[in-house]
Amino acid sequence: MKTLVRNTLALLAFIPAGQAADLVSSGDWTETITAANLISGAGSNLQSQLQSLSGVTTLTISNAPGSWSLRVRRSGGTWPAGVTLLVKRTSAGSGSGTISGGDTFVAVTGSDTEIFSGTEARSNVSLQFKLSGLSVGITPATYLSSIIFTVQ
Amino acid sequence: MQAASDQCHLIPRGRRWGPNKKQNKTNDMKTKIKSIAAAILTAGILSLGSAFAGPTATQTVTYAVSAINELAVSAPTVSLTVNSATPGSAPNSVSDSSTSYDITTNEVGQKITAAINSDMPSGVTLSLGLAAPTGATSAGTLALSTSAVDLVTGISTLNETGKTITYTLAATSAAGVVASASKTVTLTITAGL
Repeated sequence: MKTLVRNTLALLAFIPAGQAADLVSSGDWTETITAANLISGAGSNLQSQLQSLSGVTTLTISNAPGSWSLRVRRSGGTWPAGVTLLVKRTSAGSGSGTISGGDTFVAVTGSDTEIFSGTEARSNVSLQFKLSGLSVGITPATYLSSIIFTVQ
Repeated sequence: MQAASDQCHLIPRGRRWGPNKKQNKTNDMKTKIKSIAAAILTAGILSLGSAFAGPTATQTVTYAVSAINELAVSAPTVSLTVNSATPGSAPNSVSDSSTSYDITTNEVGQKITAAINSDMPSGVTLSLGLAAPTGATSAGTLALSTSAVDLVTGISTLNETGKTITYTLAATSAAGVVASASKTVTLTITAGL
């Protein structure tokens, strides 16, 4: 019996002390760059920046026991050198909690970067993406990447 | 007989036959502890699963860059008239370099070809030369016909403006007087070195 109790206590040590917040995202961004994206037609370069619609992706944070930080990183896929993906928050969403920061574009890199922070639950927080560094020097192709959001 | 012998148990002295209350109590406690441990383990596993699955969400950003090959000229029309000659020589040819072209391409190994919609009259030649954008090669001034000719080759990923277009109209004496006519010149950027 002592062994059983000892083993149970040992297993209890691996159980998280608190419930982590849950995060649900919705909405991918897909864009096609054509001659219509040239600055002024033939002879001009591509517009170096291209923005998605506001709210192309929404996030919902729930089961958050207290304050949290929303972070983002890019992973995998194909991505041309010189092109940067940025993201910003365009709405505060709704819910019992608070939300702050993230209203200016932040570069999405391979490492976790905080976009904004808050407390408790927030629903339908809108995001907007932006590509920068576009030019005619980018080989015609399809480029994609997974965008991983983490609340902690 | 052997079977009957197997079912016979010895009862220790001082212990009466029947349920042992102390042993049952211990067994009950063990069962309770096992149940509690199982419940805790289940809760823990569920909690761990939630911790790993809950706080992360993934979306995909995809963008496609289409092949872009754009060409534009600065003016839609150019007029050329052969109307003089040096005595003893063929009529003087005339040239116009008042127009230019702009080009954008995001592809490599492109070229510009030119053709006219119908052939020129006998003895009359319309020629065209294009200044080459950076890194490309101009073929110089070439006579135009309904068959496309390569005027600039080796064009790769660039955008430039104001590249000079030079038209030249020449006529032989044998061509005689030729009535005014229009030709449509089509410049095309296409793949090819």
